[in-house]
Amino acid sequence: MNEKEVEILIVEDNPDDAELAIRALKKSHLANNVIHLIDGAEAIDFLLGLGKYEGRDINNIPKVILLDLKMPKVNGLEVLMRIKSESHTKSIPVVILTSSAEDPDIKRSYELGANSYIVKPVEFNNFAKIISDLGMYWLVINKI
Amino acid sequence: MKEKESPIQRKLINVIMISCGAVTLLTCIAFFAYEFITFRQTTLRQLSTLGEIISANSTAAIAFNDPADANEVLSALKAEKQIEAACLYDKSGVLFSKYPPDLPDTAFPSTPENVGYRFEKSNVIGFQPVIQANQRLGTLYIRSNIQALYDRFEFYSLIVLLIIAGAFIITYILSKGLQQRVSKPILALVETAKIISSQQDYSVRAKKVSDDELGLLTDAFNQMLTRIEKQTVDLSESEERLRAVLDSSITAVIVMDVHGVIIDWNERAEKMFGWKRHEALNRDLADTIIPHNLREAHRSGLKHFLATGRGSVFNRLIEIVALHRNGSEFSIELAVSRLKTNDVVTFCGFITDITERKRAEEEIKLFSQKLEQMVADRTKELELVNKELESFSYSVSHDLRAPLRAIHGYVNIFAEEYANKFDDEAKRLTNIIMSNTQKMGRLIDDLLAFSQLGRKELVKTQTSMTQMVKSICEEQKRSETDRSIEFTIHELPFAFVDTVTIRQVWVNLISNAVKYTRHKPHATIEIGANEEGDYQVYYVRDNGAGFDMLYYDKLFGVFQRLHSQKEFEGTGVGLAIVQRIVLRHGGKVWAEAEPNVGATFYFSLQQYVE
Repeated sequence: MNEKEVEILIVEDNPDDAELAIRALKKSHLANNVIHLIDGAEAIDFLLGLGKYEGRDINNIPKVILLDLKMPKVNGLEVLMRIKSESHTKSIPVVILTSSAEDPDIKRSYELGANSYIVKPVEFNNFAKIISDLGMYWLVINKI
Repeated sequence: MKEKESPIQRKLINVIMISCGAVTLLTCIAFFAYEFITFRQTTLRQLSTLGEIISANSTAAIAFNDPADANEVLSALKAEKQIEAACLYDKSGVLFSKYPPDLPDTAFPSTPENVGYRFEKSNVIGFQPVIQANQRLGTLYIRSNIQALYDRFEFYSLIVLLIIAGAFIITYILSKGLQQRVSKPILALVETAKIISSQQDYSVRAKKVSDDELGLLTDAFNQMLTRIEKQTVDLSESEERLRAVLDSSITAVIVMDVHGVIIDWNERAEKMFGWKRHEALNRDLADTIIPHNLREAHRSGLKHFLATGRGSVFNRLIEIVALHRNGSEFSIELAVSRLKTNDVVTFCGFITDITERKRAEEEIKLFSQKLEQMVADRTKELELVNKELESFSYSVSHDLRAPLRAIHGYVNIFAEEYANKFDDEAKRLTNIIMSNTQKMGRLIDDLLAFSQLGRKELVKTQTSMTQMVKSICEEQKRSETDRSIEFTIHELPFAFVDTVTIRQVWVNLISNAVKYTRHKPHATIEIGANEEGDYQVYYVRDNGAGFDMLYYDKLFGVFQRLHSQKEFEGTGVGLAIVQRIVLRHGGKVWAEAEPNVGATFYFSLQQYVE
């Protein structure tokens, strides 16, 4: 398979948020292998090699997953549950993206095995900084 | 029909008869004694006279010693029937002559005895010396029978008896008539008294018969009657009035004696319990108006009171169940008082039928239950609506952030990546867009925080307010290094609060103080606490911009601001959050301020008791 190693998987239904995040990562030169999926169902298909991703090398797992909680169809919590229940994906660090620190789902995310969460700030500069710090942390510093 | 004599009449008659009898008897005895003595003296004198005459006549016979002549002289005694015997003795004392001549010598004393006359046995005897020229010639013996005396006495006795009997009869007749003068007024009084006592009629008067003591007695009796009549009238009037008062009372009044027997019962009681007054009187109270299951308690209570003088029912209102004549039971309110009149203890019960009140109370209770249910239902609904509103505002602010983020992000990229193609005006405009998106972001954040306060569970712990305030002030100092701010922190008491939210209160108040003193060259911020009753009042005082108390009403409203954005930036949510948190802790928030002098913000919390 000529597939590139996936480093960062962004699961985010809002294309603007996704683009801004990818830009931020690019700025930090971390966006070489970023994959963006727009909903939870697709993320599960991607990770488990189902649906349109049938035949994909499912051992090519991302170094880190940035997961939005509020998504149509299959939401972030369901995706998280699925990731943590599959043996080959459960060790992937998952960072929850949320619009509010008061989100009651954050607590639930931790219970399900999320490694961290970030509140998406309105200010782009902050957002970009957090995203790139995070990418750096999980990719560079926290080498598994 | 002749009336039987009354005891007093009999007594009067007896008194008169006895005194009259005694007088008559004494008179008769005196008369009798006088007669007796006089008669004896007369008898003696007559006999001595006779003796002297005989002795004078017989001197010759003796002197001449002639017995025949002597016999003749003595025979003259035949005329005196009572002379039984007589004899003459000669000088030597020898019987010389005797009378009657046929009587034997033994019937005479053998020799003459002492001279003189005397009574001897049933006779009177006498020895008379026969004297002539001072020479005693002999002695005369004469004996008289006193049967005549006895006959006379018998006759006298008969007369005395007749007199006494006659006197008695006359006295009886007279006393019968005379006693009436005394007894009549007394009997009249007695008759009047009898009428009064039997008919209770004090209007009759005794008739005055005389002006003597009995008349006075009658007058006094009549005066007494007048007084009694007046008192009786007064008493009956007052009794009637009392009765009227009792009967007009809307409270049932029942009086009971120490044996538990009903002795008074007013009209209201008649209506309330179904027993007429005359039926209720003298009945046992317990059997009349107390339900079966309470009778024993009533009786033992009465017994306890009589034994100890103490009772738990007196002089207070008691709600209890009573029994109607028809067997139905109903609620009453009862007050019992103890009455003591002339050392007789009775119990007076004042009773109100509270069936209606009970029913009303029951209704009110039911109604209030219903109301409570309604309130609970409404509260539940409100809570539901509130929750919906909260989740709505949460999702609104949540969803608003995404496009905002995009606007800000893209404008930022725009500004960065096309910076070299922008002229100054384009740069200024993009900056305005960015600063506005930032502001909107803060607004949304605050709104979100505010909306979440309501559903957040308060976790109260013992909290050191001093430590909390100190750490907040340190943080503030660090972010305002270029300013001169003097913090004065007094010792603050511990509080039992939700640390997270109360910290938010302090942060908002202190950061406000820092913010509004910005234009002062030297800012002073004082933080302290006072005790006010059950509450602890904390305050934050600054010498900043203050505000006009005219707009005080708007101070704690959401999105309400008293300063322009240009003067002091802000969203107008901070104080609203403060108020909401303190209210949820059961406290109050208030403030005092003067423009350009400063402001003091207070909040109170319940005292923490360890």
